[in-house]
Amino acid sequence: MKRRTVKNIVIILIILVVIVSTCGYLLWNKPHANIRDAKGVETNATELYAKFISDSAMANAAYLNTILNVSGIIKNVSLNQQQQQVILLKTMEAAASVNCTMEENADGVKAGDEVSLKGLCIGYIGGDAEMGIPGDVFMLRCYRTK
Amino acid sequence: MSGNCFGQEYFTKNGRISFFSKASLENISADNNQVVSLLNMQTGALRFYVLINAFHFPKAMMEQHFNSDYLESDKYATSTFKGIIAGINNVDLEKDGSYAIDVSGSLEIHGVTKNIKTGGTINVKMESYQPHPSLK
Repeated sequence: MKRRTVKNIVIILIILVVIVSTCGYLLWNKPHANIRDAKGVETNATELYAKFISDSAMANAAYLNTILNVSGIIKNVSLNQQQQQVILLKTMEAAASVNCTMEENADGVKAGDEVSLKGLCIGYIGGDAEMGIPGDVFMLRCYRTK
Repeated sequence: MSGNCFGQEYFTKNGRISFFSKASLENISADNNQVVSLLNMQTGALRFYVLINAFHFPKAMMEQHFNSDYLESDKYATSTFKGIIAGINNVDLEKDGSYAIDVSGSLEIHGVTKNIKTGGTINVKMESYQPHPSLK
């Protein structure tokens, strides 16, 4: 094999290694979905909760891992153990909520305020029937849109 | 578990479970702050319910692998624990402190249920308290 041919093969291999390594690095470090700028599916807390209660399979198919823009009336505002703001939106069930963990704290909000929160719907936990505690629908990485 | 109280029964819907794994290439960690957890201070009954896809990783690709390749969260959406804290009567909610406890019960993950027994602590501070069972 001529020396020039060997040189060309080595150069091509180096280029391939660089391309594959760069692609792997970019893929491994790709950012999380941009929820702030995404368009959310419009719904409200009462409707969303009712759909999970009445037919959770259908609700999962429609909403699971989907970005939603949920409007509703605030039941409670608190902080979790990592000091992230948690906003509970009222549903038709007094002890159940659409449970929204904020990515960015919503300043000045309080119980009774009407808001819209955009975030990732991750599903419903059915609560505990024995203790009489109804479940919540959970949203993650939420932003206030109204 | 700073949460709500009905008599001797305490619960939260925003409890926290986290894990950390030291690896040669890159450490792996995730937090889940949407844990529904219930504790009866009279009987020691402890339960928690976890949405698997609520574990949030620093990197999107880690989260994707965790959900699709390992825990298959589409198929096995939740994990549950039902157990008992031994000697719950030794925990004094009127007195701040750290109380060592033993927990035993059944843990279901990825469609498989196993009996486990582990230690932990209940930290009582002011009027709230936080159970910290550790799984190994």
